[in-house]
Amino acid sequence: MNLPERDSSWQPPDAWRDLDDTLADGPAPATVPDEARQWLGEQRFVHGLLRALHTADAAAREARIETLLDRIDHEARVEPRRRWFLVAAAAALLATFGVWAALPEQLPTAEAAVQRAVTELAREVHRRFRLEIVLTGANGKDTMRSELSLVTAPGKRFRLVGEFSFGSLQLGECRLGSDGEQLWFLPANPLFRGSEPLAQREHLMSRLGEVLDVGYLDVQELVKKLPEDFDLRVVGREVDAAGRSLLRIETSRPVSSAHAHLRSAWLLCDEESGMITRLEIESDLARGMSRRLHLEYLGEEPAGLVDYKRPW
Amino acid sequence: MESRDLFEILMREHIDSVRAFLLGSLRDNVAAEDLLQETFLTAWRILDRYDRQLPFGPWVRGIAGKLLLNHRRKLGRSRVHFCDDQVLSHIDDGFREFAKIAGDTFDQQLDALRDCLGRLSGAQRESIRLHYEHGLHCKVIAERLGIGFEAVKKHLQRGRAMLHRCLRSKLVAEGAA
Repeated sequence: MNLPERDSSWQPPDAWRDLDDTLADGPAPATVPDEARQWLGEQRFVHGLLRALHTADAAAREARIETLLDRIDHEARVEPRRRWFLVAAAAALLATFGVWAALPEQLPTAEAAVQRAVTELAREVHRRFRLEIVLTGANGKDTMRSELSLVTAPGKRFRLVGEFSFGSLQLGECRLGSDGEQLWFLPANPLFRGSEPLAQREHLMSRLGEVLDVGYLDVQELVKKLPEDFDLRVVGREVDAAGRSLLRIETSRPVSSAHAHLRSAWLLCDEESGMITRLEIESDLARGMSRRLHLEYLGEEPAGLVDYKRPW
Repeated sequence: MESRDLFEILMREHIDSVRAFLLGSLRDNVAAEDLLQETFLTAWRILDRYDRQLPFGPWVRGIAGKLLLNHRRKLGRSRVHFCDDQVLSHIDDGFREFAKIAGDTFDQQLDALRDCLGRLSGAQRESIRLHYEHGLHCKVIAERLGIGFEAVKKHLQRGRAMLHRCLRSKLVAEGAA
């Protein structure tokens, strides 16, 4: 509000209006002209105030402050113990893996790396992934591309949020989740919501056509089954932007004809934690179409903030 | 005063404005809640870097802005509205000035916005009410009001611009601008 005053009759150029992605379903623009930034900032400032005004809830406010204070107090209690634990754990790791670490040329087997990832995924923590799904038509052109946010925990619990679109058809923001027993689906239009036992998921999943197989959302099970579905091999080490050493595991063919629809897969595993950091699977679909799923691990979610239960 | 007690006071004072700052850039309320928690936890962890001579609001919104940019880089453009350092700085300017509006709490300061909403033209006020209070998409509002989609967008954008001007005029009237 301390920016240059404009005449009250001033209107932004029409081209700027399309840069305001608060009112559209599509992705935000990749860039905006310098001269539009002030107008965009003012729009977004008022947009934030209006959203805050209409979602103000005194009880929720107090609950979020209490949660934060609990977490701060918890950290203050745990931190001194964690330092000692880390020292002890580092000593134990050195004793266990010291010889292996001294042989940098030697790569662990893919099966061993996958088993470590499965063990890591079995820990009772909530993990956030970015999931990208791309459907490609028989003509080689992408017919659908969605970016979704996935949070998972052991026990077939997951929660997926994101917008689905098929060409020009926008389905809006959809939510899909499982608490380990019930699978539920909440599209932008709540009239089409539904839930059913996870074991009988076919009907619910048929609504998403070939976009998604719910099996891909149970990341622990997905990684566990990789050696059953593919011939895996470690092809080398990589270092990511954060300086972590990663094992690259690739495959080019499925194990048996029963999995012939699976075309290829590759994954990266953090050598220190054992956790997978990226996973990509390509599969063939009917009518010459193909599907590529790309998972990127973003980190752990604080406990108590993720609810996998049906939201209605 | 203990750091933890000081932090609680600062958090209670600024949590609503930081939440509004995040809601201005994130589509998803849940993601905004997540980043709000992360912002204040990060602020707590690096509290020793906070210069107590400077206002806390811009400092903690600066942390929120960095987390937003990181979140956008990780999750992509479909989850986070366009933002870069410049746009975030313009948004932050709005909140810096808004903090000068009379009122002991953020909610009391929002009374100024409530008053400005009452001054909007009928179509702008109705579009904003349906969009923000009822959560309706522009297409649904267009059908309900019997006007075009683009007309609804214009009402919303012009309404927000009017609200911005109205808040600024209140600051001038209060001699705070």
